[in-house]
Amino acid sequence: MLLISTTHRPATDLGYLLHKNPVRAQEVELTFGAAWVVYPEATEERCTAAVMLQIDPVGLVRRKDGAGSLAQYVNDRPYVASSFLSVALSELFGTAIAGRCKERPELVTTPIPLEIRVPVLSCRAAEERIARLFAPLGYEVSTSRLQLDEHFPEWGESHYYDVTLRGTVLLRDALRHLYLLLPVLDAKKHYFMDKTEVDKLMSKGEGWLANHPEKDWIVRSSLGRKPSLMREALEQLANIEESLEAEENTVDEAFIAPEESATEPKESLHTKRHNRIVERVREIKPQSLVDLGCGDGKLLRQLIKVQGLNRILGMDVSYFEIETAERALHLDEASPHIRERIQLIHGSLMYRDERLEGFDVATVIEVIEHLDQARLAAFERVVFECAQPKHVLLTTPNREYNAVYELDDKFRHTDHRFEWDREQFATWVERISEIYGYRAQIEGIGEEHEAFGCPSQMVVFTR
Amino acid sequence: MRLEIPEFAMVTIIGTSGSGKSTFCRKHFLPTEVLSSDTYRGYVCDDEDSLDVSDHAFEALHFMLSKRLELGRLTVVDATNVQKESRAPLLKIAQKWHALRIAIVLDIPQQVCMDRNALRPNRQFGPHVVRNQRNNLRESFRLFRSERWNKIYVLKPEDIDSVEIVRSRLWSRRPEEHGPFDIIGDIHGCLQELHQLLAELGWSLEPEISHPEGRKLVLLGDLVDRGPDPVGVLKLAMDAVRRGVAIWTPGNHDMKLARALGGKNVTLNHGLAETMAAMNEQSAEFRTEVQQFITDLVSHAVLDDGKLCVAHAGMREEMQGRGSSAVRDFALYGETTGEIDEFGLPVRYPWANQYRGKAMVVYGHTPVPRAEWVNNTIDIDTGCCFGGSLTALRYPERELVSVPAQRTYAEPARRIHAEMPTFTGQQEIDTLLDLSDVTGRRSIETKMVGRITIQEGNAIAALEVMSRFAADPRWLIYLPPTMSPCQSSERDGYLEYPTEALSYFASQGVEQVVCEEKHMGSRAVAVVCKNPDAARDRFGVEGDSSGVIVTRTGRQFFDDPDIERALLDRLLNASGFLFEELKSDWILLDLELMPWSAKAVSLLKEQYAPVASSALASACVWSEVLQGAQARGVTGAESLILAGHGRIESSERFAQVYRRYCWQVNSIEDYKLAPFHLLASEGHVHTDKDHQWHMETLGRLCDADPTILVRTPYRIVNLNSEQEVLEACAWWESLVGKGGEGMVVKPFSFIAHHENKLVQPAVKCRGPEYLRLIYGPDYLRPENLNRLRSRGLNRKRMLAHREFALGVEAMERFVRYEPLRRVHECVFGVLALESEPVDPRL
Repeated sequence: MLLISTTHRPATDLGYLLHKNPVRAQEVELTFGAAWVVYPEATEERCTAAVMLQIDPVGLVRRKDGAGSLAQYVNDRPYVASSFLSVALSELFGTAIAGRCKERPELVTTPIPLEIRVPVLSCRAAEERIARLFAPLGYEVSTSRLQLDEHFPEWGESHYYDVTLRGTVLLRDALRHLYLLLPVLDAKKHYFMDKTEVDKLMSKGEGWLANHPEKDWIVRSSLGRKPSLMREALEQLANIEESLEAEENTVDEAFIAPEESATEPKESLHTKRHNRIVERVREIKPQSLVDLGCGDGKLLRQLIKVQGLNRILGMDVSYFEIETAERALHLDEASPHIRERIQLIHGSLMYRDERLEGFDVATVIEVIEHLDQARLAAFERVVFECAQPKHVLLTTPNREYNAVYELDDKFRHTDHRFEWDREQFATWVERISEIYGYRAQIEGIGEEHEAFGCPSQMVVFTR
Repeated sequence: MRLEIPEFAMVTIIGTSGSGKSTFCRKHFLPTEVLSSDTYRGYVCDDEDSLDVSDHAFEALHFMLSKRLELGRLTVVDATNVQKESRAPLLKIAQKWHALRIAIVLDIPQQVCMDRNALRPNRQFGPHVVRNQRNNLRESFRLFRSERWNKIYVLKPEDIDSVEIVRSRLWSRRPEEHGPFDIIGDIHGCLQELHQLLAELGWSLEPEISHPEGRKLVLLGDLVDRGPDPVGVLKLAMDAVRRGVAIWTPGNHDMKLARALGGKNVTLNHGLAETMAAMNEQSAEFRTEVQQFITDLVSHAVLDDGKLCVAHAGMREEMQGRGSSAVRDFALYGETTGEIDEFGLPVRYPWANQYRGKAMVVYGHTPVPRAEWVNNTIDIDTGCCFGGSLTALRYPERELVSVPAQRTYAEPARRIHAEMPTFTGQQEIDTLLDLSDVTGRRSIETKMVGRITIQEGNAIAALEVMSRFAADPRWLIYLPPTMSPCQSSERDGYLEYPTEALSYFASQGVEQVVCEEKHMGSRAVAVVCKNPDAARDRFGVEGDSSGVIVTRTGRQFFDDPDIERALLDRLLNASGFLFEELKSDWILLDLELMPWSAKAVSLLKEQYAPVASSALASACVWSEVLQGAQARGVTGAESLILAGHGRIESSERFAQVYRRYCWQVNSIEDYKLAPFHLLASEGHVHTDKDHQWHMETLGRLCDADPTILVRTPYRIVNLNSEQEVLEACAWWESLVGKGGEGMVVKPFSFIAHHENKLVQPAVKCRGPEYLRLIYGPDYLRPENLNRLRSRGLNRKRMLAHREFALGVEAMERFVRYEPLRRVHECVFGVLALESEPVDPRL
């Protein structure tokens, strides 16, 4: 829902600009429901057009053609400004967004005083983000956050804001800003994103996006977890505006989940960790390696470059991650030789698995902290007693370092079940070495803090 | 001419081209039993005569041979097989699958073959081909001996027509022997103890050995050496076998005695010298008789339709009921690793730890301090001659009966464990499960509904959930099934109403149901043990916890172990009388744990509260906009007004529903537990008791700690009584009127069948306000309600059946002390079925 008001004289010109007569309520049918434009006020001095959106959750959940974009009947989609609203805007105001107006052609290119209210704007990022997106576009931004539930103040505040934007801008531009930026803040697009999404960015962002200080963030959030689309969009934008750097190299790694980015400058630590592991692997000169908990295959992409490593196995408990890794490694189109060198399997560290036996090296990178501590014993036996690799490279966060991130008592990731300080880690390493007959060497990874040590800790076990 | 062929064998036809092999095979074997090289040439290249593809064709043939033998099917190889090199791979495959090797040689004169070939257009090769084959065959006759065929039949032209093939039973396969059996471990000449044990088992020896209930004896071998009276034992055993009341599977000591008696040069150690001395006091006839008797014994026996396998030293699954020297060696000596331990004894390979076979395996050979089940196998040699005891296993009762040794007759080379370990052998094995026991497409046999298939895709999903979130599998002996709602009601303003729930059961021939109030919290399953020792003994878990509380997906309910412990303590204190009454050190409870916000707080914060707050904020603006527009007299706003109608009220009501189920937990006493099924305790799964028993028994439990434990209001309804049905509806109205979630209707008898099909174990019927949480704040708008009424329940109901059957199966296996993997496979199956792509909101 959206209210657009102007105090331009005569304010009712808004009706011409929007191609919607203030006398009547006008309805448009949409695939997901309906939208109306209605004017709750329309005087010489002030005119307000309200865009009312009705989303049909029952229809969306039940659609059989696979286009159903809701998984839940209980959903905030009908109530918040989202990509559904953007679709409604382009349906209702297509002409205005294109910048055409027969009756008042001069108005199209005249900035007019606008007051835009988004009564329920959903924004999972920090509140300032709203101002950071709209202020550079010439709006004065005021936000007021909605409470989650007055009966349960302990649940905190919601991620909804009642937002008002005031500014003297072209109506055409305002609509385009809203069209692109509301879904970006909401961060939950209701449709599958493909290359046309880049085109939308380019056309609706024409003239303002390339120079927007939050350009990267907008592109990233708007294209979701799709690095290839992001790169394409940023390249196009860079071509438009020569002065802007393409930042090609940073794109791939810069995108990380918001919860992570809030805490740890992961891209660098991540890279450091992987580099160090690859270094150690090169020293060991193994012929075979198994990456336990390989995730989307980032480390595997490095390891495949290691000469002499002629058998690489990646295992993860998440089938989704395995599929992602398979794509990231382009295994479907790889040569037979590469396919022979590297294989991916779905498996678990909680069950004995003979496929994991007989490797020179096992890497267990940032995995154990995702296991319940009570089940660590099963992991230990699966790896050290059953699989028995000659070397085990294992990393886990150093909890002490969380102080540097100002995390208080929180863990670095919501799925972490525990994080160890250096002493706890050393005790564990010692116990494992003793029980299973390994020698162990501990080192830190990442920038060392004089009191808290390194952010990540690694052990190399050798039989 | 009669050819005897064992029912399971690899039959190799040997003969030159034109010797009539294929004709012979067609006449005597099923088409599917015959693997012909010509056919396989055709399979790989469409040309049965192409010699270029021989390698490919034989590779395919060997593969098929291997698969058939693996499955225990008699298989005939129809190829010339005249060369040693072509027979070698066949023999190797047969050996791998322990198939008997039978050769049938068609010894047909060269000229006859050549004449036949001349008549066939596809056999127009030169005379040298058959000539060479003939030479090879002649050569082969000399090689046959070293190839170690079990039997070679050589057929001359005049024999061919008169051949009659008789399939003979393998001696080790005795499916018709149903017992019941008394299976006795290594006797080693301990006649006195044997007499005592037989008496204990109810046998009488006078006037002849017999059992009043017609039981049979199984002697697991090693009857002689070490003990005081090997001859007495031999006499008893031979007599019993001859009278048909005993089966004797030979032991290594027995075989060695037979060899010694047969004049072979054997070392007279490990008590054999004494046995030989005793034998030498007997007549020469007796010695010969013993030697012959033992030599004729069959290595092992598969009894009772394949459900029981007995052998001296055990038997792997793939060897059971098969014949090869490897099978015989395994039966006599078991499996060793090749290593020799510090006592100079071979290190035994623990084959039973990996045993997955269907048949129970009962064996002896290795003395153990106590007979223990491991993966449905048991070693009952309790070392009588070493001063232990003589043990019998009663089958099918699975009872162990022992008599202690009178004294120590011999000293073992290796000490039999002096102290009893904390965990049983099975528990030791069960500390870690094997991936291959859960992944892939699986089928699980359940008592309740037969075989349930778990698709691979579902197993994949379950593996992730089980690995990342579930509690230690040793605690997971049950997961609750999903529950179907009742049919949609057509009543105005209702999506669900009791009439439909009750009439479902009436339609299933159920006359009496129980209606239980449905508490709105989170489903939980609790194992409560008397103390940590009981938990360790029964569940094989380390540590000091005396129970667990898990969610319906097997995850530990509380992240904070102190809360779990405190709640378990309260349950434990209240359960004292139950431990007494049920004679159990543990109980398994199905319960609802409240408040909802205890477990679902993130769901509330991420989904329910945001929807409520955004719905209300949005509804308020709707109403403002509409007021403005209406004041202006805007036209064409009818649909808009309709769309905005009642929005504020429905969003407020939505918030009120969930708020009812949320409260702050400041102390342990703010939790409420409502147990509604007492699922299992030692030796029993209580699904055979009616719901009144469950409600009343658990009611007493709740009364023991009313602060935390909540009785579940319920009523029993006779579906034949219109009055009672109406009262049940009224009762439900009052429950949901007070803000309750609704009720669950179950067959009074817990498990009910109708026309051989399982009736739903429970059907839920939820109140109109509560359903806002499922279908959204505005679901009662007519256009929504009408669409929501059409919902398919079949899939959900089918899942509920299967999950219920798996859950009960898991508990039953657990109370029967089956290996953990057998319990886990069922629990894993429930999780896997839950990952079915069904409408999860039903």
